[in-house]
Amino acid sequence: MCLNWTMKTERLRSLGIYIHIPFCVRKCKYCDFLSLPIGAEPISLVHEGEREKMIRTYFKALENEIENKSAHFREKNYTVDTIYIGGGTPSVVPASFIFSLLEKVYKALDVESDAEVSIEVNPGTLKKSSLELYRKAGINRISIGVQSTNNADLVMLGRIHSREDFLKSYDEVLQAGFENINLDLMHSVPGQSLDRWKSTLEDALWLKPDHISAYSLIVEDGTYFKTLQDEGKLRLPDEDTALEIYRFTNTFLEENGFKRYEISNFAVPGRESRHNLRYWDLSEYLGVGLGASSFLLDRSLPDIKGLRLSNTRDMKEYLDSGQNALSEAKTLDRDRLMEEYLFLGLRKTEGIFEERFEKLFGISLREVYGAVIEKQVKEGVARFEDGRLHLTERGMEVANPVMAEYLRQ
Amino acid sequence: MGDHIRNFCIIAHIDHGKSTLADRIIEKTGLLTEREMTDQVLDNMDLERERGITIKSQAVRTVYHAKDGEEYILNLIDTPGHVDFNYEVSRSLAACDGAILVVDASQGIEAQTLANVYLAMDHDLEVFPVINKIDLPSADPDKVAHEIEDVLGLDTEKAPRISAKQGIGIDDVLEAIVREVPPPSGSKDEPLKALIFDSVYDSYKGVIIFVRIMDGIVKKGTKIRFMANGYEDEVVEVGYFGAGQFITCEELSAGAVGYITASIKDLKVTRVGDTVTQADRPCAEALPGYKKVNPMVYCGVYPADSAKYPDLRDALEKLQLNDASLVFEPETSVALGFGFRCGFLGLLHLDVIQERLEREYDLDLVTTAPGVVYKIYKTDGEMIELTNPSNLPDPSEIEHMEEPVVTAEIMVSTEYLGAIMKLCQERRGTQISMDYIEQSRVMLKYELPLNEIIYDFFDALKSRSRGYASFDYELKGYQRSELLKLDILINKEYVDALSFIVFKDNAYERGRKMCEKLVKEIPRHLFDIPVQAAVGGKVIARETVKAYRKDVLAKCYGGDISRKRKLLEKQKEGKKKMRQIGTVEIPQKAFLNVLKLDDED
Repeated sequence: MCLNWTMKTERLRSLGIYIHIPFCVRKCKYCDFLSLPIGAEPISLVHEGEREKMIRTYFKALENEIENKSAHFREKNYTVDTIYIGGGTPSVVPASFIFSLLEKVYKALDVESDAEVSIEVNPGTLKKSSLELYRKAGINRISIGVQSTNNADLVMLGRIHSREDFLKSYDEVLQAGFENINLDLMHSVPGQSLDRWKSTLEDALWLKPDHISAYSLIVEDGTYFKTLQDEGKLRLPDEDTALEIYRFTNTFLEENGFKRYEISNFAVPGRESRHNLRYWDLSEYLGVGLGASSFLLDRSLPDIKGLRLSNTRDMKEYLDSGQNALSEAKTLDRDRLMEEYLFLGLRKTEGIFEERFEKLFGISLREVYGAVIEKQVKEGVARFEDGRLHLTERGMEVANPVMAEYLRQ
Repeated sequence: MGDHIRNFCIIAHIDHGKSTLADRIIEKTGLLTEREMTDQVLDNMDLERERGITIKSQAVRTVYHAKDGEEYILNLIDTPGHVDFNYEVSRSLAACDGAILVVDASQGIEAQTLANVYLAMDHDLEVFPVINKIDLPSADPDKVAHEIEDVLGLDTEKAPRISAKQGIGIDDVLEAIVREVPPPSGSKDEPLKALIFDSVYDSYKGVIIFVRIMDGIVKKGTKIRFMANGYEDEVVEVGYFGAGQFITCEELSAGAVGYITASIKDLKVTRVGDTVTQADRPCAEALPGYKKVNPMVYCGVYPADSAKYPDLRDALEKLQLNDASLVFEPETSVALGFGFRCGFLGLLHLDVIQERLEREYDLDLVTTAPGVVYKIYKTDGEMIELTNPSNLPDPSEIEHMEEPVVTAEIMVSTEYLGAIMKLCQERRGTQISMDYIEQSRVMLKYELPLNEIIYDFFDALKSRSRGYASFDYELKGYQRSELLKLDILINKEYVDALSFIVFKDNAYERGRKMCEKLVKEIPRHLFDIPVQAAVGGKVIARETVKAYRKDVLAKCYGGDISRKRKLLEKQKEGKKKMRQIGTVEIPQKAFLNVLKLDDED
């Protein structure tokens, strides 16, 4: 299979692992992730019904997939330094499943002792006992999908938890001894004013998390919000308010000890998400589970090439295929990799470094993108100084059209 | 054999069922099996099928066994029905001896019914009416028959009442053709005299000319001469028209309708309307041919990719071959580069040509706003015909200007009379007459400046009358008018391709609407873009395309980069349909869309 790709260099290489848990209690109104609502009833470990059977089968499939794919990485001397369990809502499944799954990963691959191991959890699905088991399973970073601390916002978004549920969960996470906590927040949601958003941010800061992801709501196709929008019933903040909210977020968090290191991500220095950085840095990662994406890179010059793979998004196919069903496999040549290096790298506030670019691709950044860079610097959306290219504040705000200019063809 | 030939056409107002009747005639005469029948056999260009109108004249030969026991050759020559194409109707009519007039049993006579009937009578054709769509619940054939007698003075006693769609009464129509359409006159013993009524270019056969033989015989080997330019060549093949195909035959003789090929590669040799004769035995004089039609609407046509300029020239030359009403000459624009100023019969004609260029010749085009031909009388006594607004001389050199006016006939039900009169007034019309055709329908006659009707008058007419108005017009002449050149500046840069001529009193309103429209057409940029309308350097209207506020993607779900890439690619793709004017990107379609201003009314 594709993973049997021969690597020309045999030096030590690092790998990130993404594990997708597609289950959740119910679909949120803005959600277009690959997720399967399974209801609020607790998952029984004793009486196996349809749900329990599906989840068990799915975890079995995950373990198989890890087993099968890890051989390649073991052979090539990869060491794993980040693991990310995302969803869906991974915390809806029994923690013992997560524990066994991670056991499997540790056995199958060489995981570094200080690896970053994250899990996404949602208030309203967390149990104290689960958190303790997560700790035992080696998880050291908790990402809480709180979105808002305003109950009206939460109802409107279709979240299952309240502000009170969240505060309780946060306390439990602390009690369980976790020291690296992220809060996922969402702004520019329907009916939101700057003041209301500000109170969510203040609540968040008061709790002193290590990391905050602040995304603006995007109305995606196929979501409940999209239907409302098409009917003209979605009252989103007007664009001036949305811009105001966005700018306020950046300054307010920066003033309160957070460093913005990526368009939507803020961290106490040293607490940046190492796993997410892999995505922006063109580092390699293996995705397992339904619809999961992987990226592999062969750095040998001059034929540097990348490989992007996506697992099938069809549950039945995934379970039946022995986890070999790919929905997409795309080889990226140097030109495409350079494009991605730019449009991903420029999401980071530090941007990209001329020297690293040249080392990676064997050609100078100026030679490839000189004209675009010059234009963007003139327009005030990018800055290029001391061998570092990065977007300005304005450039970040309009990152889509700016980054589209780095696509060649 | 001549008395067993019937050369005829079908004339009708748009949507009265001409193409359907043609299909039925072809079906009934059995040249094709039912299986071969596609929905509209005569309209074989994709484009026509999509629009549901007939554009290029075409012919088809069928064989009919009449009730008198004899076999007749029926040559059906198709004509376009739209007002833009009167000229083409005229070409087809010249090849016929009779015409079937199709009238919708519920709509009755419409403006184009009248226009087409008058045109047919001008060509001395026998016209006989057919009342169609009698199967519709709203059909009132008696009333419509009366209308035909009263308004057109045609006898309706024997007029077939049919439903072409349901196949009712088609036999009556066929019998009527045999009975009413006179057999062709002319003799095969006379010297060859044939009228070219159309032609197409085929890469193997060269130019294929469509002819109606008036006198004489033509066959393979005949040395023919084109009377207009004296060009001579030897006939390679003759034949007639099957449905959608060429069928070769031995010879074409007096009365026949068919085609001739003579391996002619030079597109300019064969001119529609010209007379073909035999080189060694020429006829005494040429047929009258067609009166030259002058294009009424001009616009700039540019290749989106400037490297395609020669391809565009080639394509225009080929289209001109069977569309003599299309004219073009090279021009350059600061904004758009090298292209052509093209003249058309009307806006639909422009649309059709543009689509044919894009589809048949695979060209990506930028078209500028259409305008009419103005006459500029200069102070030094010189008169220039202005087809490109950018070439307007300095106002100090202009003594006065004239614009073309048309006489328009509008038929409308009384219910919408007020709305339509208001529309005509808004468009600077002068009422000439108003006649009641019957109690609930009125024929309005107006004089209107052509410039007021070319863009969107027809659409406005339809929407303001809920479709209950029909319209036809002909050029009347020129009248003196107070006109100004309106310029558009985008991001402070003058865009020559957007300039146009406007009636003085309408300048402000037009300028304002143009700016509003452009603001909707131009996508957001990283910076604010002022869009201004100016007359003689003075800004009279201004709008702004606001800069992007925020356009940024949230997260990448579980490292799914492909999705993100697709979004950026889409953004990039959108830019390809743009024209760069200074630092601003303008969608190609904007150059044409800006003048369609009645949308919101």
